[in-house]
Amino acid sequence: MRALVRSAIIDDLGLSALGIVDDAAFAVDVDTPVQRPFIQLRWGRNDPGLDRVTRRNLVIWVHDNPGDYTVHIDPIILRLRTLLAGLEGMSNGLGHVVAVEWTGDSEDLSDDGHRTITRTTSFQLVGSGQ
Amino acid sequence: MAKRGVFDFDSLTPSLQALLPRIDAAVDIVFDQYEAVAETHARTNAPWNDQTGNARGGLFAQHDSTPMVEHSLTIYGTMPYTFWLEVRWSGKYAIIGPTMFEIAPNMAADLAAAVSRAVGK
Repeated sequence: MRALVRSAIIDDLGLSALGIVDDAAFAVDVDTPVQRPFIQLRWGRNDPGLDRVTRRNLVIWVHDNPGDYTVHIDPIILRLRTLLAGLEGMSNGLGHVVAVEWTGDSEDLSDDGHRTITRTTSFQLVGSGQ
Repeated sequence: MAKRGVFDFDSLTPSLQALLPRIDAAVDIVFDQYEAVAETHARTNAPWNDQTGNARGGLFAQHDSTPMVEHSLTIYGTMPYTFWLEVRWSGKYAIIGPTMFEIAPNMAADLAAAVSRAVGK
């Protein structure tokens, strides 16, 4: 599931137009990419479901230079909501995505570690092989 | 002259009036239980290495209620930098949000079961 979501984000032309263009647009743990905007995926717990199907939380942090949340962050979050919903029914290599539920966006935040402004958008991914 | 009397037999209203306090009491118990669950989970699973222990020891959960109207469970930290632990490095040291994710499904299920028992299902 991780690989499917990551590749979907990288391959999306809408996100590319907003500045999320390749692996360099992802932060891992506490590294801070040079590129702005960038995103960070925080995969949460994976809860049992029916048979092989499980429910997993995903929080996507979208970061940008301090200034204006509407330049990149808000449109990226909106695009992610559409993009992830489009993964329903797709194979993730080990199983399939059954449903993608958007569970909300955060308020405007700032990250003093990355020295960015940021918001999160959260999902629950229901499927097998995750 | 014949007299006519009308009797209303209303069993529904008294039953409904008795139901709400039963549901509220059942919900109240579940929230009290999860107050402890949430606080323990947060303190046990906070992902940072303690320097003073104040941040971990300052994590609390609190059940507030307006009887028959509203119940809420608040998870919070008392240190000034608690907020930054939640946000810094995209939530690397977050515990309040993850605790909510952790307990919410079980709490919802327990609430549903408690309400079902209260209404006699």
